[in-house]
Amino acid sequence: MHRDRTWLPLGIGCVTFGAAALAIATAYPYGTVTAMGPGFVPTAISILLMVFGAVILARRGGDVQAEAHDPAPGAELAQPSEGPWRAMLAIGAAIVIFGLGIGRLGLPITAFLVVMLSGFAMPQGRLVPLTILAAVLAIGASLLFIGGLGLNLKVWPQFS
Amino acid sequence: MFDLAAVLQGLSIGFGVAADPTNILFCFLGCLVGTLVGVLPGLGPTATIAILLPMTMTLSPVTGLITLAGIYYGAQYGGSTTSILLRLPGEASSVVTVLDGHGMTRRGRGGAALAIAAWASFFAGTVGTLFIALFAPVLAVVVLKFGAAEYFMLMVLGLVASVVLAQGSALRALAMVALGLLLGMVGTDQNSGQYRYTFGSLELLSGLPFVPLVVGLFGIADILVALERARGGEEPQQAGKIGSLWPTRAEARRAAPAAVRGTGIGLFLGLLPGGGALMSSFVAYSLEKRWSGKSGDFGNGDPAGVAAPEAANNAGAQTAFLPLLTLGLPSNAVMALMTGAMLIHGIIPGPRVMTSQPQLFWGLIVSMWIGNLMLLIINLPLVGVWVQMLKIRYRYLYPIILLVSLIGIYSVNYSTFDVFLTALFGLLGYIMNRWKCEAAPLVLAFVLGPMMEQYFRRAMLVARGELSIFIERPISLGLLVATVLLLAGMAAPHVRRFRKDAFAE
Repeated sequence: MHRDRTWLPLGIGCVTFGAAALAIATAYPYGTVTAMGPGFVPTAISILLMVFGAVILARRGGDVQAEAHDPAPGAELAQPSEGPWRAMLAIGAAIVIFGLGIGRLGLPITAFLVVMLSGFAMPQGRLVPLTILAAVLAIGASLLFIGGLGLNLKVWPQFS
Repeated sequence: MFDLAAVLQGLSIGFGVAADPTNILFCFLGCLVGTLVGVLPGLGPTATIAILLPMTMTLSPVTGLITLAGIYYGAQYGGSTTSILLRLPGEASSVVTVLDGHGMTRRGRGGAALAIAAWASFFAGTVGTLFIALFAPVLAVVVLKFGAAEYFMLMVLGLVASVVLAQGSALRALAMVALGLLLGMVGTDQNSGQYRYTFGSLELLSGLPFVPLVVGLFGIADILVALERARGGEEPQQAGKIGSLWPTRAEARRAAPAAVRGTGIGLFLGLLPGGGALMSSFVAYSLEKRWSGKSGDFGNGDPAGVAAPEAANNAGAQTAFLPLLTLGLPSNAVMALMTGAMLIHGIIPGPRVMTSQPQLFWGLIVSMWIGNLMLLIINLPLVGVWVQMLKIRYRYLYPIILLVSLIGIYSVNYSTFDVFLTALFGLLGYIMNRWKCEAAPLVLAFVLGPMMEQYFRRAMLVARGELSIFIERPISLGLLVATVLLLAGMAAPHVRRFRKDAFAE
């Protein structure tokens, strides 16, 4: 059993985010209690978020049960793992490629790239099955979504 | 109290709508996809509904909601199949089914366990549907008397209750509620036309789009979390033997009363915000265990231990629709998604849906029952097919999920902004998961936030700025007292212990 260590970033995050929202909300007319302006409720909620953040900091992780699968201090060193970065980078890149490509490259090519990129999120993948999957999905998705469901997506690349 | 004639008339309207070939087809597709998803590991019902939400946009509102509802209870059925045969709960709500369901499989009675689960679910679904049909009109009439103050307090109560009754840290859930409310503020203020938190972006003028938010928080974040756990090299599971699909007379006699009790528990717990299917099944199982005393053989394949939680989670899944359809109050994450879907179609959930959109209201209710019937038919004979599905490795599954999610998001507005926003919320969802915060309270608050602000401002306008309006009006006072009691109860030791017990098994 290990103590929770997430309270610190979470609490700081809530307080910071609340403070930022509060700062922005001061620019909106506050109004009166009877006739509230657009700034009243955001101000109240920002303060609420900061309060909860402060309470999280004050409880120092006492609000959650320690879990067995929490990494023990130092466990990261004993068991080298790639952590979440690999998955985050691969999935993130796949989403960005989709956003950039869908309007220019058309669905089949974009789908192929998305599947290939996302495939790298898991270690020890093999390239051949992944490529086959990507090709099958590129064709299948195009047939299903453009042909079947009639979505207004490009099939071929267009650079204009 | 009950206007039976109106209920019967409503049901006949509903049968007319639900029996429409298009609706039957989509109800079937929804159940099929739901079961598939329930069976597949690493993809929960909330994530699936979020991902497939955009696909239902092009359908008519009734058909879209029927499809989503089908996915929802299909996933409940599918989840129990893997629990029973593989000791792998597909959904959180079928975790307790593992204990005795897999126990029966070990004894070679897996088929019987599947049949008991399916029949218990069908029975519970039927009762649940009738329950909604009977009570929805009554509740809707009461709610029509609500003013702005009552609505505001009702939503506060709903949010607080969903926090208190949910899993995990209530404090963190409250923080997520505040964050969700804040995210709901983004966009143009309805009263003054002031732009809030838009950072000069044109896309945000009409508020943060719902679909990227939920697909990011539930879909993409789920993939990231699952990938982190998987670490490659996973082997597909071996399913236990199914055996005969017919329970013996003794098994049936043991299961039937348990199913009835489970249904009763599920009906009421499903109504509670934050409750729904999950808590129903846990409570039903532990009560059944206590009820049986020494006569039961729980943990080793007692049919009652399958029937009770399965009936309860299905009944709970059904009655969770009641607060949504009558009060406009989503009680869990799936219902928040349904609210979002209704709002996108321009329908504001609440008591007026029944009078202004009887087709939608009764059509949805009747289709729930038809969906349950279909699931009985889909599940039992096709159980072999579903088991084959388990051989799909996650390695080949998540790229498909990702691609379908992205195409869905893009197809709503053909906006790449939505796609990038999804990546952002996926990251947020992943971080929240790491920091032990649940996404459900955030989404509930995001959906309710703008409505709450409107009601609050209207109530203050009516009361000339006197906060005492919330105390002076009796219904509002009652809701306020309930909220305070819930918050106070959270600190009380025996409630804490109950929360701990209920989620411990």
